[in-house]
Amino acid sequence: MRIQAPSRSRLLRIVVIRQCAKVVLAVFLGGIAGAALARYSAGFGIDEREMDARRSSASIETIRHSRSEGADFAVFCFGFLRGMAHGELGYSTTLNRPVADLIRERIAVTVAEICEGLALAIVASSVLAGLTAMRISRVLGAVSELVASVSLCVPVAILGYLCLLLRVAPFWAVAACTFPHLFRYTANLLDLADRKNHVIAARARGVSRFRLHTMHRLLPCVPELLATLSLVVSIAFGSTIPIEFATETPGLGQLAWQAASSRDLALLCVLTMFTAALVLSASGVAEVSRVWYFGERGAE
Amino acid sequence: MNLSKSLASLLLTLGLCVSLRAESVLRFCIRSEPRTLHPLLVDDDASETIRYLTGGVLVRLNRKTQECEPALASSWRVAANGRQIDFVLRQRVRFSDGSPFGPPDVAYTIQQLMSPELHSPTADSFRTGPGDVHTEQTGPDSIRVTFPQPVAGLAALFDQVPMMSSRSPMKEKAVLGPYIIEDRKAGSFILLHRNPNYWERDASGHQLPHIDTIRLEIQQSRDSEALRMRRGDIDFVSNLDPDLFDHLVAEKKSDLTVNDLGASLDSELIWFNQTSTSHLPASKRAWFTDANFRRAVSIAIDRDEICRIVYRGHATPAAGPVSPSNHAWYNSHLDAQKSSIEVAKKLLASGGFREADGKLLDRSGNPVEFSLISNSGNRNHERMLAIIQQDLQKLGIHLNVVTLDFASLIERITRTYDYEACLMSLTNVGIDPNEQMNVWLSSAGNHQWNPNQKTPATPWEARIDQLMTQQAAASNPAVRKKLFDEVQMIVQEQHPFIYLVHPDVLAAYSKKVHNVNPALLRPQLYWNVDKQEITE
Repeated sequence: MRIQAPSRSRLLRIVVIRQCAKVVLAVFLGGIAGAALARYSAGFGIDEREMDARRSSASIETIRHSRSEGADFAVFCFGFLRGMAHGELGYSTTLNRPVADLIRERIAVTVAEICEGLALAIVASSVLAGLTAMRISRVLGAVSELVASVSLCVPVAILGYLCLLLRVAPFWAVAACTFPHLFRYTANLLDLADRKNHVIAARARGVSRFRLHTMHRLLPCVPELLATLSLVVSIAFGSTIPIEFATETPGLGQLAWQAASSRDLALLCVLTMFTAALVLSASGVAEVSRVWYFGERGAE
Repeated sequence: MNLSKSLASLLLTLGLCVSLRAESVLRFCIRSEPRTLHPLLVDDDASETIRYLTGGVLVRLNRKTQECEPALASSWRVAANGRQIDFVLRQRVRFSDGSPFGPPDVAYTIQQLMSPELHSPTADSFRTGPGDVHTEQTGPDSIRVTFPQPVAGLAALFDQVPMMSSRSPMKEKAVLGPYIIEDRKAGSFILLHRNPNYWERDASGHQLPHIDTIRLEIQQSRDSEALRMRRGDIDFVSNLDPDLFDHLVAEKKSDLTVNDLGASLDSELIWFNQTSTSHLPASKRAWFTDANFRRAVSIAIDRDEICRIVYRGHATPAAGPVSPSNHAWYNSHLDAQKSSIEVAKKLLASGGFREADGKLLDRSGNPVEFSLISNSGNRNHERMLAIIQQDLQKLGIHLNVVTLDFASLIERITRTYDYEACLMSLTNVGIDPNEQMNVWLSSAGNHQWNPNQKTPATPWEARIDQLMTQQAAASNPAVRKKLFDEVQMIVQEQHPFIYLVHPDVLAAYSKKVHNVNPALLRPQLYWNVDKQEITE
């Protein structure tokens, strides 16, 4: 009797369903956890307008009432999830606007920032890691390593301030944040691949340096590189919060900062869900494309 | 033929000149996105800026002279002991959408303002007692507004009330101010364009405002704002940090005017928690409710040192709740406390405190030690805390400094009362003491040292209640001044708030903007924006 391996399409279907379930579960749990953290943090339900000496007691009471959403956490969660089921994302009490509008206005800025930053980091890290692995120049390798180390050491907000000082777009800071991770991992993978038997054999057969690098070193590393990419998406998104705050960029990162500092429950809840969805979707896409590309081998 | 050719070329050149005339743009920053664009619901600085630039008011407070001036009302008269005000409106005034302005619009605005459903923070200043506000059209261009109780400083309060159209389909978007909102990008900028129907003209008959567009950049960080100012990206900064101010002065930039305008209306102050519901140990409550202890702490703090080190000389030692810049209400008989450790020690000794091994002990032998909370991320407060800590150490008091984020700080001082002493800034937007009613009345929520009292806890708080109520009901400015002077005297004697300094207003503006007339009252630099001009 022989056990048949599942076909590629069936395997792909299983992986897609598994990833979707993972995203839905994580989004749900992430949203609840984010809201719980905001609800039970010090300063929840506080509005600095209460300190305005010109306000009457009745007026202060009105403000307190408007900020009391979420005082009963279970009621808030139930109401919020019910609203979500109807396509409503709630209302931001601090910015005085529907959360959906706030997200809609800012999402494009952050997505563009992440995409441009990641594209720059991928190109730079691939080229530099490739050149380092091909041992074209020792100096280049050392310089690349130094740049990666420095980028890793400098706090993200400082990179943001640098962008502001140098008058460059914030995506450069996103690229600087993700570059060290991509560069180091790619360089290590290529270095490991260099010691594999098929590469040694190809080199012995006199395969050209370029072909050796692309076909024998780089191509077999694609699954691992895809997995790294999903990781750096979450790093890139996380870095947009201090970067956008430092550079005053009107994106989701700045919104997340404002939501956290003002304990805006509905906004924080949606942003946590959004982050969870983005990060897990990126990892899911990487997983699915790996299976699609390599079939059974990729799923292992 | 030649003549017609010349004429044609002249016309062409003129046409080109007109079409090439660059639009004048004034740029400055606001700290956050406005919470609302409804002029009667404004309760944050950014919305206030928009309201000032777009709203047309009946009476405008001149920020320089601190006197009321005619705006949409060509004249007014306060009567019935401050219960009634009669306005005569300007004729042929139109809203930005072209709809006419008249007494029905004033009546509509007042009705909207006082509507209990709207919860307008602006209306709070007009609510001095129960009852309804009535409006009555007394002529084709005149209207009378009657309040149920006298309202002190009534005319000046209308500086905060932009008129709304009762007829325009654009509702509150139809404005009478010098600018209208043209465009906005969330979190980035708001663009205002000159109102084509603005009523005011300059001396030569040209319609105001001169500047075509105002671009308000949304910029939270003061450092970034100063950086933009240095680069010439913005034209105004009105509340510079002392460090940045000195940097700008040292740079001697030829295209910038940098001014220290003098003491602002704002104060830096400390108070002790005297709330009866707090969980303070009995010994600490006894210190904090002891006027001699508060006085000793106040005398021990070196205000001159705070001005010199923290504010680099750009602050004035505070004598009381009113800044010397508030010409109408400042009590000139009060002097700022001079620091004296000897006097402070004597005061403490008279209250039964004694010193042992460099530590101050109370009557029961408890070492005097307390914590002072303040908001984190405020460089000036952090430096001030260090100076106060050092000064109190000279009395043998051990001071623990705690910085909290703003929301946590407010939670402690307004809800949980879980604190011992607090250092904060008090921002005063207006000059009238009525705007501080909710600080001084013992029953008020913003009576920080002991809020929401059912009956005044001390005789001097009862006296302040009485004086504040009397001054709010009085219509004679001299009588009001006398009553409020006594409030200031009591505050200086009892030290419920220990006033430290009034920071100066530090402003910088581009030299390409003309007719800037910096004032101490907000908005310091653009209060006369309709008369300002830009030359490139």
